[in-house]
Amino acid sequence: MYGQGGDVMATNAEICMDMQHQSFIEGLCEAVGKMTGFCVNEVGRDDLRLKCINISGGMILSGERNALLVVGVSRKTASNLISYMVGMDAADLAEEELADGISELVNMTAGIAKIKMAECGTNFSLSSPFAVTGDNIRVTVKKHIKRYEYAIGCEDVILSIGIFYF
Amino acid sequence: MRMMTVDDSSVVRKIIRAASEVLEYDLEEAESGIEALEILEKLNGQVDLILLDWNMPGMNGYELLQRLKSIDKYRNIPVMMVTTEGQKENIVMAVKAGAVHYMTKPFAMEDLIKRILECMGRGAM
Repeated sequence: MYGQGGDVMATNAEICMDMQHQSFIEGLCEAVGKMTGFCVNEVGRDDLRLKCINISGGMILSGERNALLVVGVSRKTASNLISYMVGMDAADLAEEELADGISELVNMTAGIAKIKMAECGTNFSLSSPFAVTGDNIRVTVKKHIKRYEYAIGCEDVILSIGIFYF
Repeated sequence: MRMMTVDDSSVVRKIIRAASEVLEYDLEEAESGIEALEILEKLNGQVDLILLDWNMPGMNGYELLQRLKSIDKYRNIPVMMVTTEGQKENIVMAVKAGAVHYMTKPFAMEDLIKRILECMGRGAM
């Protein structure tokens, strides 16, 4: 009985967590769609373009559980997205603007997820968004920290989204 | 017509600049509440609309909104919040403090332009 109950509890927790992560994925798709016009959806994580992450935008989520939300893109995807956001030629965008734009997309994603999750009774507060830039950046965490990574994209752009609980 | 955007994101300020160019309005840019107050002082409050972010380092957008509404020469400048803070309590707080419109990010450019026109009294609310 105990084992069965535990399994049910674990399953419910997993379903709940999956729904919460879906809020972030949907939030990122909505932010990218509205701000750039790219129609993106969740895709598989085996895309080779995900191996080249040059800009990662992040925010710290604090609540019942604390987590780090990270969105990673290649420089090419960042240029593509931000040029559509601001209506400028990609070649005219400075590195700082690419980083600022990606951190703003993370900010919007977290804002959307916050509203969706508040409707289900889960509340959290947000840090200021930030960005880390450089070649082939990867966020690595201790083994005991639960990490969930997804990808969204379309033919022209692909973004990774990670949620790390600590 | 002259608008002011107060937002710590250079990309958001660029998006708002693109909208102002479509509308052929002048635009003043401030990246903080303090800078916004300095620009308003220089212009003697001659601004037709302020687009205001909520989350900014130092003085946040809500604090700036309260400050503007407490100063006679700025009190009547319409303020539209443009922010990722989309929860009902934030909207109520901003409207009670005197914001005339509340727009949540993300937004499409055409929606931004439409809201600006509404704030300027040139579109249907």
